[in-house]
This record gives sequence, C-alpha cells and structure tokens, in this order.
Amino acid sequence: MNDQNQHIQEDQLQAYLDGALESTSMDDLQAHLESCSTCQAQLDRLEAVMTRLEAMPEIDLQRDLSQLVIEQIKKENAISPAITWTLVVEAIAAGAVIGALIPALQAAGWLPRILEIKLSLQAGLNNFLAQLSSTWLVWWAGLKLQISHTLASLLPMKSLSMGIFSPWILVGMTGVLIIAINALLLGRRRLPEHNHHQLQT
Amino acid sequence: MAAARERALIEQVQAGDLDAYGEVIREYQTSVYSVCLRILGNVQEAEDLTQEAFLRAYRNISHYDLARPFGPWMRVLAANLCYNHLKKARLDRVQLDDERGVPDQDHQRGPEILLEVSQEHQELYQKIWQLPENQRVALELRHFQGLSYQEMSEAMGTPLNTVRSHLYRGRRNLAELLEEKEDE
Repeated sequence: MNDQNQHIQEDQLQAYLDGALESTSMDDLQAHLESCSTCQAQLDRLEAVMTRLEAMPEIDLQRDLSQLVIEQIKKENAISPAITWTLVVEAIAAGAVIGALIPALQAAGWLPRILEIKLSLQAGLNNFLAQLSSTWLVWWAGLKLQISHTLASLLPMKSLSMGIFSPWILVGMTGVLIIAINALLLGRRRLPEHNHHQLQT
Repeated sequence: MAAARERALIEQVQAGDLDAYGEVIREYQTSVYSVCLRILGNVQEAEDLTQEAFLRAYRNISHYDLARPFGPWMRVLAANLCYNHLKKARLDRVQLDDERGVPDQDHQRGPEILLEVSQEHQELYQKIWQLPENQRVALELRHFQGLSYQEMSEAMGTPLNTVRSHLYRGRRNLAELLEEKEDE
C-alpha cells in the first residue's frame, strides 16, 4: 500500500474490485481513495469495464445441437466395423494356426502320445483325429510341396525354404500377422480422447 | 431447471439414458454456446466446441458430483476446452508460419456480425476478441462464470499468479481498447 502522496498501483485496485485484498489493506485503500481523485477515477474506469462486460447479453444458438451430440455418442457406443473385422480376421488366423499345428503335431508323433494318457477317449478321438489329420496332411503336404518349389526357385538354400514349416515359426509368423492386422485396423479408428481438463468433478 | 429435476436427469444420464441427456443438452446448450462464442469469436467453431464439450461431459458423467450444479460445471468445462483449442491453434499457426517463413499473424476473429445484439455490444465483442486468448479466457471465467482466482487457476491449469496477471492485463487492455474507440 502506498502513502497518501503516492497513487495506488492498478493491480491493487483490481484486487480491491475482486474483493481479494486483506481487510487492513482494504481500509488503507479506501482511505486513500477518499482523498485522491486520480485513483478514484482509475477505479471508476476499471469498474466501468467490468460492468459493461457483465451486462453483455448471451447470443442465441441458431440450431438445436442435442441430436447431433446424441448421434455421436451412439456412434461411439457402437462396436466399430474395424473391431468387427479385427475379430473376424483373428478368428480366421486362429483357425489357420490350429489347422497348421494338428498335422505338425501328428507328424512329430506328439498326438498319439497325448492320446495314450486318455485311454477311455483314445479309440474314438484317435480315429477322429486320424481322419481329420489325414485330410489336412494331404492338403498340407500338397501346399508344402507347392511352397517349397516356389521358394526353392527364389532361395538358394533348400534348408531355408523348408525351415519355414517349423510349427514355432508358423505360430510366430501368425502372431506377427495378427499384431500387424490389429495395428492396421485399429490404427485407423480414432479413439475417444480422455478429458484432461483440470476441473474437479 | 429445478435442482431436483436436474439431479434426477443427471442420474438417468449416468445410468445410460440418452433421451435424458438430450434434455440436459437442450437446457444448457445456449449458455455453453455463449461461453464458446465469447472465447472463440467464430460461430462455426463455437458450435463445434459446444458439441465437443457435451461429448466430453458425457464421457465423464460417471465421475460427475451430483451435489454440484451442472450448468456452471459444464460452462467451465467448455471454457477450458476452448482455451486448449485456441492454444493448439496458435501453436499450429506459428509452426505453419515458421515453415512458410512468414511472421505469425493474429487471425481475425469475429467476422460474422452478431446481428441480434446491439451496436454497443457488438463493439464490445469485437474488442474482447482482439485480446490474447489467455486474457479472454480469464475474463470469461471471472466475470461470466464467477470463479475465484484459485478456481480459475485450476480450470486453466495455470499457476494462480499467472492467471491473476492474465485477468488484470485483460481488463487493462480492454479498457484501453474501449477508450481508443471513444477517442476516434
């Protein structure tokens, strides 16, 4: 606070108008204002701006926005086509992995060993799997042959062209494929932004 | 809207009733739009941000404290959204102008003449839109939403002393702009 010979700083006048001064400062300021027409004029000037501001009328909204907002919310709530397609592609990929693993496990001799433990189910299940795997093995053998011929013409070493049929490499490749498809499909979908504002709810 | 009715509606919205939310939007859209227009000075942007504010409010409605009135909460949320929008737009503009090798220009706001308000208020709107965005938002939060310095600081995500400085400068600059007009 200034003495009577000095004018009040404008920031203090603004704090006074906002009721943000300590009571002692406020008493001093009021005493100064009574004897200083310059500071009183400055205060009136600021007060006039505040009065004009607060008297501003609202501007009418020219159209109802409620339906637009509700439709947008419904869209966000619905499962997007991208997610639907992701699920379809993943289901197909999972089927392909299982389809590829059955003949691979059968060829490695693991399936019969597993089935021996389940004696009660062995006969029926073995028969079923044998039929299933034989069908797949025929298809798989044909596909392997086709791919091997193609790769052999592209790759110089035969071991490389056959190495891709390892079950673990197939599983790994399928996993990479699924991640890539997810990234491609979900990356195009704009996820709802979280509200980062500082408001208390 | 009566407080009990508002509370009942918000509870319905929290339970997922979109019809109830439609009623809430119709009740508050004009006041929220007014906040956006005062800060943004552009009718289209103000409509877009009004919609965005109601979308964000809906996404956060489960956290909304029913003991508080919805209108002020909604309007401060909209002011905050507009402030962030303007800051981002300014940064984008500066970056674009830097890339083009031209200095930043204060883009004209409020070209649409607000036909339904008096000449005096049109002039006041135009002066407000000439202020920097942080001063405009500070004036909005203090004079139209009645927030304390502390509440303004929280709403703008800015230290209290900085917010107070924006407010004081905003009033000072607005007074000078209005006096310029009177001197012409």
